[in-house]
Amino acid sequence: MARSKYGKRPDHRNKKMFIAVSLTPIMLLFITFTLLPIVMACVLAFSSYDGLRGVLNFNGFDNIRGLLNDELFRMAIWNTFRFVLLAVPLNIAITLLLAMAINKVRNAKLKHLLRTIFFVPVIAPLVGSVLVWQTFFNYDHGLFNMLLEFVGLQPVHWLTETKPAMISVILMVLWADIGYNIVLFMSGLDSIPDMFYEAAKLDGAGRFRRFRHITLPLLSRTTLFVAVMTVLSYFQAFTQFKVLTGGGPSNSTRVLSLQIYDTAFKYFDLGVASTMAMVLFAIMLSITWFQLKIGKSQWEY
Amino acid sequence: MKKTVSALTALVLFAGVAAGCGNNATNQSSTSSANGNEEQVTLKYWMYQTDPFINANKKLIADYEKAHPNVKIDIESFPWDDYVQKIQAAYIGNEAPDIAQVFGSWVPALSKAGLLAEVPNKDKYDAELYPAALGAYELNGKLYGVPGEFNLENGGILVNTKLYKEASDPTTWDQLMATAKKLTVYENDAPKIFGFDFYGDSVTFLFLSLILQQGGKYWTDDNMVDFNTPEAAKALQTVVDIKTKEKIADLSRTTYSYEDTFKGDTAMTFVGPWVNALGKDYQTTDFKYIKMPSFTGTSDAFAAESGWGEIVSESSEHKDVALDFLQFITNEENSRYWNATSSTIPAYKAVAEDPEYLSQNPALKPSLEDLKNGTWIGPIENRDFFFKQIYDNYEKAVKVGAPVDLVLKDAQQAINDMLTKERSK
Repeated sequence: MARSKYGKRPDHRNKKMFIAVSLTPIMLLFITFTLLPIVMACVLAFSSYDGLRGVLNFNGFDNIRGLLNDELFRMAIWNTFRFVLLAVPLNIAITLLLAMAINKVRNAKLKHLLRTIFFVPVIAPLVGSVLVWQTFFNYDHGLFNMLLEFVGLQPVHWLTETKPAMISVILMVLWADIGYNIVLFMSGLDSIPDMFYEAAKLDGAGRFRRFRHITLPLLSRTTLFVAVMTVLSYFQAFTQFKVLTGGGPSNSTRVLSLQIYDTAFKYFDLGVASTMAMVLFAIMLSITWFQLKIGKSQWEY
Repeated sequence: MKKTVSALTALVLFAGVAAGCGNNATNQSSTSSANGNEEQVTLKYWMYQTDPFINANKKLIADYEKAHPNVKIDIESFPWDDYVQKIQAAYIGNEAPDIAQVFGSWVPALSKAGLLAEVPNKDKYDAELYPAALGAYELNGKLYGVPGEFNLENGGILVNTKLYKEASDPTTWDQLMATAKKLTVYENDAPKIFGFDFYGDSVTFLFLSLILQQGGKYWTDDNMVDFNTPEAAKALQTVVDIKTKEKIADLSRTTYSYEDTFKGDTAMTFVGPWVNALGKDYQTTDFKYIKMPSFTGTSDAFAAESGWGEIVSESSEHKDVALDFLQFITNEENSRYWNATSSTIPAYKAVAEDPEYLSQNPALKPSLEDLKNGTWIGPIENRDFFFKQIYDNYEKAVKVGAPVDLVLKDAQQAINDMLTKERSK
């Protein structure tokens, strides 16, 4: 076999060349639009930046100190946690139950149809969906108040009173999002071998015990993935809040992502906005690490 | 579900990156003409994306191009929500358009950063234009743009004539409240049809005008905000009382109050005269625009932001041509055409006070007569922040009953912190 002067086979060199050529475009994109902005955001987080004058002044921990005294920032953190803590468990519970129900359907066509129906909101343009839901929530002419009045209940100020506003956003988010997790849970359920259920049935285990001792444990890897991805997604939820409530009423739905956007692009304070983004990043990193730590499973089948 | 962890951090820096992706047509805008004598010049012109503005500007640009065959002006227009970010990103990235038609409150940030070309003949504009319209375009005794519009959010009330029925136009503040109460329709102890309403930025404009009409002021001598005055307290209390005590409206709606007036859900709305042009969008003629009564009966003073106007980039390769075009599009005759086509209030005193112009635009009568009472809102630095602070604190007073003096103190503190920060840049 002929060898090159570097002592390597030509096909090995070609392979490396192929890998380099294939990866270069995506790496360039990654560096330009992901890595570089993250590095720049880290720098900006400890600076005051005046883009129009092109002046970047390192100001140490001034931005963080300012945020500690910023009532609106504290409110945004609280609202973000409130949203995530309410919406994620609801999402997981609803999607798991629906996935199990759809999985029980024996007719393959009907099963696919149901999965498709639940997935449609995921692929619908989010802004359009939010606008439609905004009309549903209208106090005078909205669908929900018409239904409430039909059953003899008082109409609700869905988007203009502080308490129902967050619930309204969560309802919309759940509708728009559940299809994605249903598909994940259904594939997870499909991968559990039937023999475990058959053995449990022979041992006299009822539905709940089969769910508790077979489905839940063997679905834990899927559940962990769904939980991690949903938490990350919901911490960054933006469009739903921006379009549906704009953070109101009385800032009761002002979440961190919205506050970062307003600070950066309405108040043009990129330094403080980057500090907020770093705080959000640190929160998400910590929670994801914690989730992975407690959700680690050692089994296989 | 598909977003990545880095999306938000990337978002923060989007303005900088976007600037790098901007159009670089300006740098290539100059070529030699066929005959070699006169330089061919292509100018980039940015503007707000709305048909009345586009139609007016296109005609004036065509006129200029006809008179200057070597000049070509390319228009790019942007929706309101994107425009201010686009302008800022363009200036940050040194890709600014040669000329831009911008909203007055965006100008001070650009002029302070030395990014705008000085407009000559300041004395002429000072004499011919309303000071309230010019305010934001001036800096340290120099002029950095020329407004085409007197941005008016005050002085008038949009009335739904079907709901108004036999009610006569109120001429005093007390009559306004009494008429509004009469027109309010209640359902379950809450107003179903609002008698008199206002929304968003109108809260700030109403609040500031009530301070000024009492003879008060809200700026200190060193240009910091001062809401710790009896006039400010009385003004905000009055605005809050409309929702809490008079109960002629509440904060339960998410729609613009002028929309509700056109649709018949609100009888009267405090809003600028630009609303007159929108009736056709709601397919209604059941409305009229009346004068807003004075709060004190003695003064009609109000605060106004500078409206839409023209600026030229200091770094434009064809600054002289761009400034020449600016002076062309903002001369009295062309401004008159632009105002008439775009349904905007004239910044030129001579146009606004011209009986012929008034006879052609009768719906603007209450507004045109009121322009002399306007003063510039002042160096608010960050417009959105200023307005949000006042609105948030007003909302706190209405919704949770926070004392007016306390919310005014909070608003003043937050705004002054912002002013200090902005001015230290």
